[in-house]
Amino acid sequence: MSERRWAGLLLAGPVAILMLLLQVVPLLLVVGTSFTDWQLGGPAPALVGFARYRELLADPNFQASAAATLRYVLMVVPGATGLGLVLALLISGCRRGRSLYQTIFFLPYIATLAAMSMAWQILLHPSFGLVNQALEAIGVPATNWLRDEATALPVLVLIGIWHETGFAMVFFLAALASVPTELHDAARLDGMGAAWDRFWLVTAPHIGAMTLFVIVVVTAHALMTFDTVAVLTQGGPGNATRLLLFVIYQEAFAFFRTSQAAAATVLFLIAALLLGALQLRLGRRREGA
Amino acid sequence: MAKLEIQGLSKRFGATAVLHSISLTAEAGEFISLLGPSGCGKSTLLRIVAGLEQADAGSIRLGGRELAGVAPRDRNVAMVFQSFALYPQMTARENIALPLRARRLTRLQRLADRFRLDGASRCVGAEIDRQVEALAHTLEISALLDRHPVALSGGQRQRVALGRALIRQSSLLLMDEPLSSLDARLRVQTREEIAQIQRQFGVTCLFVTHDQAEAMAVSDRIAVMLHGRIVQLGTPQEIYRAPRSLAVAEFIGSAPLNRFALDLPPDGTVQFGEVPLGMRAPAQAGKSVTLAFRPEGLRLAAAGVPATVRRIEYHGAEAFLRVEHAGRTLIVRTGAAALPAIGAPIHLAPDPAAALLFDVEGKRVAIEPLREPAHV
Amino acid sequence: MMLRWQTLLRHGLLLLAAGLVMLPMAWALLVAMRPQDAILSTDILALPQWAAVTRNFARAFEASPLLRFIGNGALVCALILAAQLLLMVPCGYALAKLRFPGRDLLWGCVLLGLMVPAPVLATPLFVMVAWSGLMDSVAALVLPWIVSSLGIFLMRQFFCRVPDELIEAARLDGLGEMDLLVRVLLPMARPTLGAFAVISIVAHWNDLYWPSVVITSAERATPPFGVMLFQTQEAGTDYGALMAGSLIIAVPLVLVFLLLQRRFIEGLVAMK
Repeated sequence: MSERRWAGLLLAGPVAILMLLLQVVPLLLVVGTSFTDWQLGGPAPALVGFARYRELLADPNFQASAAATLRYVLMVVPGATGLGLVLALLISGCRRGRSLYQTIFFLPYIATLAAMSMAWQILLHPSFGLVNQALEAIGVPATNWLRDEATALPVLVLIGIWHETGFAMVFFLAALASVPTELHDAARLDGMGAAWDRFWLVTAPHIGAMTLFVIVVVTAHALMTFDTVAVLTQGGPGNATRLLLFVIYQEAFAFFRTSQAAAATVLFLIAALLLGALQLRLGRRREGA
Repeated sequence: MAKLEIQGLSKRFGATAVLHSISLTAEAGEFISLLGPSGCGKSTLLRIVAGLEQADAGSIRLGGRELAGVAPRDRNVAMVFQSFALYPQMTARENIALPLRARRLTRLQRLADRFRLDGASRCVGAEIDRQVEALAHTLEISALLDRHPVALSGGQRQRVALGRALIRQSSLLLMDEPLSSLDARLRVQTREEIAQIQRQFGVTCLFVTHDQAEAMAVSDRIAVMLHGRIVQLGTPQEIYRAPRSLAVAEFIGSAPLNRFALDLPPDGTVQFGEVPLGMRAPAQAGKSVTLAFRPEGLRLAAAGVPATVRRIEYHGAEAFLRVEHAGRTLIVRTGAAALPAIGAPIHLAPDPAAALLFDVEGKRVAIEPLREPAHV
Repeated sequence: MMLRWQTLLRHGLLLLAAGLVMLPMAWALLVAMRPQDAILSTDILALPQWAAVTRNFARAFEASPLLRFIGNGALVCALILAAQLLLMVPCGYALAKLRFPGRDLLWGCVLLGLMVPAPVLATPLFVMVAWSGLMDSVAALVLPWIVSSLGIFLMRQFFCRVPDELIEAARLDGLGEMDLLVRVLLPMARPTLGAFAVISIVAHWNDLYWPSVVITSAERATPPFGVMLFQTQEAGTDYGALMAGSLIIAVPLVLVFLLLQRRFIEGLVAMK
């Protein structure tokens, strides 16, 4: 028994040490720093309690960021989840081409978003972009999509949905595949054979757990949006697209307001932890079900 | 109840032909089993009758009405599935009521009735509830009506599935191996109940199974299916005693068939080893045939074919002896009193009336006693 | 009859959606194949020209070391994955099958690590990197990620599902711990490891945040960061080259995905 104990320590020891160094200590540092007034390269830090948090929450710029992030998440999540479900429903009814469709719709999730953002930028270019040209052809005036305060965030939302839908779709496809076909047959014989009826009678009850799971995961992804902001808008115009993670990045590595960044990070962390805990709970429940 | 007429039904999936010109008639109120090994096409046939698949050719008439192009819900057909296919989110009551609610209430009314909003739909809903309760009483599941399928045992779910199928009083009841997910003891008990309910309701029933004992126990007639064809349609007795082919003979019957390949002499007399049976098959004179006996067709006797007992399978009221004769193993059924010992030499007397003779292609051929008049 | 109509509608909708989804990539490809004046014109239907193709792609390679970016991406991802595998397999096994002091604490930390997103740790890690003089290095890109909570979690779950009898039988046959791990358990774990590998590679290849923190030069840039670099290089004029460069950067991972898609998607779903 004792030999096994040593084996255990030997096998897990390196991970434990590295985890301490690379994850636990940094985490504690972030939380700790948020309660100080430290700036990188500045004098020794002093504890200031919740001052940074109070400043942050009172700062209209941060409030605008939080609002923008919330709006972004509240648009991307239903969009990607709903579209993913619709696509999954359509694909699962196909006899041929399933694999091809699955690949095509999943591609945006894989393709490097930074590179794809450049492609989107060209597509949306105010003068020669395809979108504006098509709109002008039908008489609608062109818009500078990424530089107009009213449209910048919706554009990022669109790209976010484009990016995440395939991800949601893949999970829904798996859930739909697990619905027993005999239930669909029984529904047809019982007189509930129409697609709408069968969806509510057979499909929806079966995919409830997966739907919740997908919502949680997509929300977590949406919360961590950084690439599109960094490449396309850098937070502008004005504060329209200053999503949370971009704000944290700027505070920490552009302005070096380290303690403010730490406070914002902690807030971000709380949201992520809530979602992560939900994800674990839901994942465990699905495994047991 | 109605008469079911299937004519020339064919189906292929891609390049594989699954059903070859199937024809079958079930009289009103008759219980017909579709019996066959897995892959013989019986479930496909059932699904086509239900309207869940389309046939490539052929026609199906129920009560004189052609079913081609008619949606499953309008065919007046009900089905019990192998996995029961109960909606897990609904109670037993709601499961059984669903076929009625789907037909008598529109979608809006269903929604309104659920929340008890609309008076007219409440009336219909109440009437439906009464019917459900009456049927549940007949099926003895009244106490289970408010449970969800997950809280029911296999046998209980089976009855709820049956209730859902019977509630509409359809002309035809289809059952796709409804007993295969039950344990052995429950299976025997449940098949009796199903047979009884079918008689009570008088509904024409098409029952798919791969278990020949099950089919023989409950059916009025059995359609034996092999490789997408009905190879024999008849009563259980006909199929057991007069199987049309070697394949059917081997498929039916709990114990294995004893079969011997032999070449008949020019005069067509049939012998079992050195023992003449006193039977002949003139049409097969000089040809290769297969002679077969079921285990009960070989009896222990004082004289006859010599054999040695190798193993005894004791079944309480009877026993199956595995005996060795001329290097091959035969199976003999006998009463359990006065069993011989293992290794003991015995003699087997074949019963000529139980002899089955098949030609070189496996078709059964006539065999008659040597003395006139012949009667088999 | 009705079924035919439904199928037509279904595929019609799916094809329309597929077209829309592929639009950005398709358009980028088209732009990368046109000369500058055609791009700037309002002629949507301008045909690609071979001369433009060679010119744009050549220009893209000139302006920024694209192959270098891709090479860096491959190197960094490979190093991270190798380190992750080396650490997570023994650790997962120990957590699942062995008892040692601090086991539950470690498992708790793994679960916590699953819920903490990477950017949260960026600032202190940045300070550590700067303090140890590793800024703008491969080490800075690789080291923070060598302990993968997801990897350890998956391995522990996998090993928990391996019946104890199997391991005891192997021990009775005389296999030592190392042999057991390498010769018996590792082959069994291959599908899980494969799925994890794909997830790790995709995540780290596409990561923009951390490279943006520690990378300053083009020599060390990974593909997404490289995009940002050559965006500033081309500074909004040479669209053809810009699109060519973007496509070159995006293609490797897409190709790998196309080759391994089934493995990847199965793994993703199995991992929930």
